[in-house]
Amino acid sequence: MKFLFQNPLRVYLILFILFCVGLYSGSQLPISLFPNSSKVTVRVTIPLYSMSPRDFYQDYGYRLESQLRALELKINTLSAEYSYGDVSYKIDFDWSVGGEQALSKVREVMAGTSAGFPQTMRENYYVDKWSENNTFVALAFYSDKKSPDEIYNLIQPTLEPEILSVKEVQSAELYNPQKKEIVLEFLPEKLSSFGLHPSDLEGVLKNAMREFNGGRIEYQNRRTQIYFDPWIKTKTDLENFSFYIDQKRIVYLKDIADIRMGSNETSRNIFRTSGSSALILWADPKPGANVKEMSEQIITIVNRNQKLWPEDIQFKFLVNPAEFINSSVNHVAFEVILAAFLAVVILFLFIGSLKNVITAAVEIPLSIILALILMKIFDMNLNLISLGGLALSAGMNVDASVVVIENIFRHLKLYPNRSKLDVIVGAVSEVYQPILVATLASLIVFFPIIFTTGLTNSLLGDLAKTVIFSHGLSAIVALVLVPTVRLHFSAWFDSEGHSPIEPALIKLENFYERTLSILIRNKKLVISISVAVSVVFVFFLTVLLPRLPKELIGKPETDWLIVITNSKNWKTLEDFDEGTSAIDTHLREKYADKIDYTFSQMGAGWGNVMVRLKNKSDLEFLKKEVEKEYPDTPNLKIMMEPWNPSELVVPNPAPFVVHITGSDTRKRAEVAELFLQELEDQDIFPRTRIFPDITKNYALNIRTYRPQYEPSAISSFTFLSGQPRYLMYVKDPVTDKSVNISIQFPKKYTQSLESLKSMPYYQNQHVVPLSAVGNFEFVDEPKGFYRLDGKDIVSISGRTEDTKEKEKAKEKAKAFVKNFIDRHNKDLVNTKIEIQDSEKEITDSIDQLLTAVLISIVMIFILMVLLFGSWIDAFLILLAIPFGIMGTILALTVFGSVLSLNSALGVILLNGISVANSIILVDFIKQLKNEGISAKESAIKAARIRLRPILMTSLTTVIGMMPIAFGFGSGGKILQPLGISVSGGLWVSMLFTLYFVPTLQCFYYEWKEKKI
Amino acid sequence: MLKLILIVCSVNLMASVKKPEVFTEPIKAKDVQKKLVFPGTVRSQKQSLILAENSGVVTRLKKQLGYSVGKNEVIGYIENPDPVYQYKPLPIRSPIAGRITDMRFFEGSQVEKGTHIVTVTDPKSLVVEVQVPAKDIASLKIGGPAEFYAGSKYTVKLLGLSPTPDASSLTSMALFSFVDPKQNVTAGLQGSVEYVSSVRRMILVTESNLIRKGQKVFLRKYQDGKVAFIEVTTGERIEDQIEILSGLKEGDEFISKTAKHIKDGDEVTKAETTN
Repeated sequence: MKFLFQNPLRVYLILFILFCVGLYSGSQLPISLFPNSSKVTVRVTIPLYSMSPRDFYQDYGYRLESQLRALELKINTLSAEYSYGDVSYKIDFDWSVGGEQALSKVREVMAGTSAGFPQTMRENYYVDKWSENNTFVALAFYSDKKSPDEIYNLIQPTLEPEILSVKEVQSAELYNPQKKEIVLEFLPEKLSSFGLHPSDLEGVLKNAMREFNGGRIEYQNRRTQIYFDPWIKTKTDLENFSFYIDQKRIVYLKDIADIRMGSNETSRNIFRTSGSSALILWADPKPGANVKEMSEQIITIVNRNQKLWPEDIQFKFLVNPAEFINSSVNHVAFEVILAAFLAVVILFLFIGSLKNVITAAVEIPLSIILALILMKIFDMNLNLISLGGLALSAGMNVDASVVVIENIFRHLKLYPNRSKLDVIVGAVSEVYQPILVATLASLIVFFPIIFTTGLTNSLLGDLAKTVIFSHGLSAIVALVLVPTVRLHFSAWFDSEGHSPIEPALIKLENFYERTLSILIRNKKLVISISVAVSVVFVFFLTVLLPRLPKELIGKPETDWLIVITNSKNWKTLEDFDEGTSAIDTHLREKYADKIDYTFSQMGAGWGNVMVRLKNKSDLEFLKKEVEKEYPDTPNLKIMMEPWNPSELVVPNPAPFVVHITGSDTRKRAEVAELFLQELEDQDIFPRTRIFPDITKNYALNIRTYRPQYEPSAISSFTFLSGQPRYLMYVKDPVTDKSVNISIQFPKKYTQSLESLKSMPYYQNQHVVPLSAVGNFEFVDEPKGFYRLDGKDIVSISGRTEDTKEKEKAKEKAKAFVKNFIDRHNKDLVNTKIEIQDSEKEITDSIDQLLTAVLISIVMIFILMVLLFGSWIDAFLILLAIPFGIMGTILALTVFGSVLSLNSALGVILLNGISVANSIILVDFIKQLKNEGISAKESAIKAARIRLRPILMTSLTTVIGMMPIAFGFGSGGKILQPLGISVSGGLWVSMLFTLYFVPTLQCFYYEWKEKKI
Repeated sequence: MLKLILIVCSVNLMASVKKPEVFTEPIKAKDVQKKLVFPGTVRSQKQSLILAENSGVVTRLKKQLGYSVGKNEVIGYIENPDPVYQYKPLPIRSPIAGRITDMRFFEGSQVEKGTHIVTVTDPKSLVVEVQVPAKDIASLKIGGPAEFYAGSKYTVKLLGLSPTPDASSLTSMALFSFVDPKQNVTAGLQGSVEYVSSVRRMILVTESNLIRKGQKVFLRKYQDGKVAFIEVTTGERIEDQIEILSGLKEGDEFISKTAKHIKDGDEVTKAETTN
């Protein structure tokens, strides 16, 4: 140690190099919103065309499901939704599975299985990956003078390619909701008069749009490629396209079809920004990319391009991760500075010398910067969670320095004649072991969290790591840098400090000594207080704790409100546009002082207005006002919710879920319908949901007259009646733009069953109505069926947002299920209704965390036994923990906070901090006892001497946690329960430590002496 | 103290539950037409497909495609150039007055006996030809009125119907004549014929208004400010409407729309109908 302190330049140089490496590492760390870990879902969608869902399942689906379930990767659930039109599989992988790995394995399975599919299915299925923590950039471009097409044509050619060239961007698209495509509308009356079916033409048209390889010839001693250019490249080519009928007559496509530029009716949307027509630009980052940098580059590109556009084209941000990230980084910086400032204030109040205090305070930013090196080594990124961990450790990091400085002062006073070096070495030798032990005890509690899996690790893993890195390094800095600086600049430093509150501190010490003496001398009082405290502890555990509202993790504040509009009168896109835009305009006009801008989006069947507020604090006010202005009526229903794209996505399962299984699809649907009706009658949950949709939307069954009319021929004909089908795309040679071509029949034939039946169909030289092909009947056939993990099910869920009422609602619902089964016993033959543990993932996460808490306590105990060589000492030290927990429960109750993963983490953190104070006391009492002082005197003397450092370290931690406890900043609400847990718990555990640890230790030593 | 009571009262008033609003509709029986719709093409009722009466070469064409011809008028001649035969050139005559709508030879063409060489159509006697599915034949009556839609609406009536369906298409040919022969239609016009086969008085409600509980079907009746779930029996389905056979009668009011879930016995408020 002398060697180290005698060579300050060596210490400064090493720390300076590490400081620079830390800054560099920090600059290289990717910055994103969320930790790297995320849960992956892979989706497979297969269009069924004319095949029924049940047939697909029998021919291919059951085999595909078993192959997906047999994947070597861990799958949580495999669900499959079979409906007329398509089947979609959703594979939810476990947290431990990497996204790319999952996607590649599923693709392998599909490549093998799809070989047996019909060609159109084989060519048109797709597989994609979706991660819950997907973050992206979205902007809206709008103009009050130009249509979306005009805006698109003006900005797309330069903007989209530039954004795609950004290194971090995986994909980007400027989406025109009214993108035009070529619509080929076959006219059945014309087709039938020529004796044609659409299927006759599809193949011919596709071939005409393909390029063909014609082989090679030897031409002028060179091998020359022969190829056939696609015949159809433009709309004009389509119109002029002709083909033979009966090898005699030539028919032009324009004679049998209406060819026009139009929008695909089924996917058309309307976007508006503050009332003006708009387009959206999306950009997704590559996995592991620096999202902040991506966002900032996109902003630069857009700003640069904007100068080239007409003035009326504007843009607004819908999702800007850089904004959230900058806000979080600024917030952390603020918290670190605030924590450092508050620590300086506390230290100054106790030590009274600003110069000496600054030495301690420097440790806060230094240990954070050194932690960045370890974050880089462990391949972490800077995100809301890891930054939160750094902010959390800010208040804790100064503890070790405080103890060192305080002990140096004490030794300087005790040994005024010794050399400074010897004094400092002596002071540090006295405290280095308890400091290391205390730091280790603070950190050991986090190790179990690093090894948790799934949701717990995703939410807290990064936080645990950053606290360990930062706080661990702070001990080293305290033991190396602080004494070195103190020695090197001893002339500059004040030899002693005079606390501005010294008289008050002395009075406090005297009061503490007196009250402690009374306690130590009065065993009956100690026993009475212990019993009372135990009763209170049990009360807190059994009464207060269960009443605390529970949630997984808090949600940050937001300045976005989504207003979702719905009306039974609105059927078409135009209806939704008119209705939603009216609400949008009204809100902007009435609340112009509160609303910055709006973004509304409409489709055929849905609409919403996203409202961006000028101030986050106006959100609740606006929500209430809109609720008053638009109460639910039979015509119009409005739902509202805050929207925060920077929110860490956590599972939010419905508290009540039942699965109905068994029997057949029709029976299950019947039972589900009855169950849902009766559940809603009970009014237990404000929101219920049923999946899949079992509404009696009858299917039209056509039983054809065979052999004259084959179902396959008729189905390919009727398929075009319902909706446009994508045929191919062509690339315009002039504009080089791809344009989709879709085929369909005129909509008039699907306006009613009557019109469908009257559709002309060519059959053996006759033009017959479609009604001639067979029997048309509406049947009570559910739309499809849903399978979960190999079972056909109907799922019904109930949800309430009121966390206090959730448990009661669950109990009522369980009783209802039992009652329903009893009453409808006869109707439920072969059908089962089973309540699901929908919150299993959350329960498992909390259980994992509680297990981590217990493991951490055991680890602390083992550590104490190893270090002190006495299990009694270890036990006494651990007694601080239940008192800390009491304080936590009280603080959470008083401040109306919640029991969440973060408040549980706060308990873990508290365990480590509260034992640190006990360790310092127990160690010093032991030292004095070993010097021959009596048990009582050792206890009282050690307690008095250690009062100031204990107060200092506790206050700096508590006050350092205050910004977190107050929930400042955009992500403040996430960590707020943690701040409240630690601050509240530490007060109580500090009181216990100061009084009961010395008292009980004294009793133990006295008992030991008597025994001897 | 008074202020406190007022505050408490106003809080209680605010806390009282508002009755859900509902829209109601009256139960009304109406005449429902059952229509049969067939695609149809206009063609001439009088048409002659002229076959060659002998083999030979077509000579001296007197008429061309599109020309008018009278009854028995000569269109051209067929001569056999083989000297063995020494037949006189045989005239090709039109059995009906009309216009030449198809000509399958040229002057100098060799034709065989019995081949179809000319078509003459009377443009004035037009009919609409439809194919009627076999299952609908019994619903049609000769002379029964119908509407032919081809851009404009024309009144037609059933002229004739083949009693024997074609085995390959399972349809029978039917002809509808125009009630007003002077109507401006041309042969080849395509459209659809709507024939009303029956009219029945029915009570229909939109399917979405029915509440199903297991095997039973209910309608929500509005009665004295309350909801009453009335069990009904249903009949035929016409598009998205379901026939109500029993349970509710004409004049009763049923609840067609509501903002919230309502159950049997709930008190409700009738809302003003808006667009």
